[in-house]
Amino acid sequence: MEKDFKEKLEQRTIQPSDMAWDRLDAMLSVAENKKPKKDRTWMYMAAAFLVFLLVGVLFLNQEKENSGIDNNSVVTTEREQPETNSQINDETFAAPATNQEAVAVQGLSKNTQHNKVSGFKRDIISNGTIQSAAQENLAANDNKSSSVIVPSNDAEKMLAATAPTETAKKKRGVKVDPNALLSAAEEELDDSFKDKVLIGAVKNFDAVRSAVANRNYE
Amino acid sequence: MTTETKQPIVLKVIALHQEEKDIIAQAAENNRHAQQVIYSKHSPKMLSICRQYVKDVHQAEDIMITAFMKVFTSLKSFEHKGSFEGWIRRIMVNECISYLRVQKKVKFLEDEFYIEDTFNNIESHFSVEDIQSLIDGLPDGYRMVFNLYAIEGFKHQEIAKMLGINEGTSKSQLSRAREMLKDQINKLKNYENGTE
Repeated sequence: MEKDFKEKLEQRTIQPSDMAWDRLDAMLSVAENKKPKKDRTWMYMAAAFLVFLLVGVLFLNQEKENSGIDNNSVVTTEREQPETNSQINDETFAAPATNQEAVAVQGLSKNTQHNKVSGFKRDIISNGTIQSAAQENLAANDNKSSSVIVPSNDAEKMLAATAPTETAKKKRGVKVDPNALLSAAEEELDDSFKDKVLIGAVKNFDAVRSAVANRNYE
Repeated sequence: MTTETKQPIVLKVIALHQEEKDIIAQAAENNRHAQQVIYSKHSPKMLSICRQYVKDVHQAEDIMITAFMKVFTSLKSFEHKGSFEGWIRRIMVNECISYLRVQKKVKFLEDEFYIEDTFNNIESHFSVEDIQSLIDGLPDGYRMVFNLYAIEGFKHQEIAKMLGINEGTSKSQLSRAREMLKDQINKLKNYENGTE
């Protein structure tokens, strides 16, 4: 019986209405017209992507330029540093001079001492109470004074010899890392920003808390 | 003599097959004339198939038009492996199932109780209209399974996959559909005999 059902239903045909094809035709036309729109959407998407890409590239370039300016500033500090170094060098170079001056002063004082001693000697001579022991002592003093002056010349030489090495040491010691400086400055900035944000958050929290408390109280 | 008559038939079949291939290729390229040729050739049979699943002819026609839209928009995916009519038929059946499932919200009770029974012992003298009215008397779920199994020749496993139900549910639905059909046929016979 099922076979009979099947055979009879297989043989059956139902003619659709005349409007059916027109409706299908209209639907097909709509579907065909929709297709180019899809292509356009792809084009719009591609255009949007390109615009985003361009904006991104421009933004990156700007960032690079900004970072370039920062680098220049770093470079200027680097350039300034040698100046300071040179100042330091000048100072260090001046230091031996002061040393020399000091030595010269020392020498002068020693000379004055020597003059004093010689004056004292003259006084002794003028007094006519020349004592051999005193003379010996004076001579010894004289010798001593002369012996003091001689090492002062050595000290000058030694100072002159050691001065450049000290400056070199100072040169080596005063090395400034630009990256460290930058990072330190950035950290300071971050800290200040964090502080600001935290202060703002705390203020807001206090305001909200007080508002809630007031509401609860009411 | 027999070879002489056989050769032209084979050639005719090949020529027809080639012609159909050409029309399909043209229709795939949105040639409206080719599409109309295909529609005119297959629409009466396809509307009959849709009518098996849906009681209302106008609704069946709507489903058929939607299914033909799908046929023409996906013609490029047809690989000429099976018959073209079979391919269209499958699209029609799927469209009917989806329509019934969406519009009518068909629910299949997960009942796996069924009796292996056929009504082959019943003599059939019914016209197509009678058969259609008998099928129309079935609930949507029973009708779907009965059509898929008895008319389209799908197996329970395939039906279960198509409808998203268990194989047992498909079998129980068929069993109940047969029972209902038997009752209806008996009633119809009694009515014809004048006993009711």
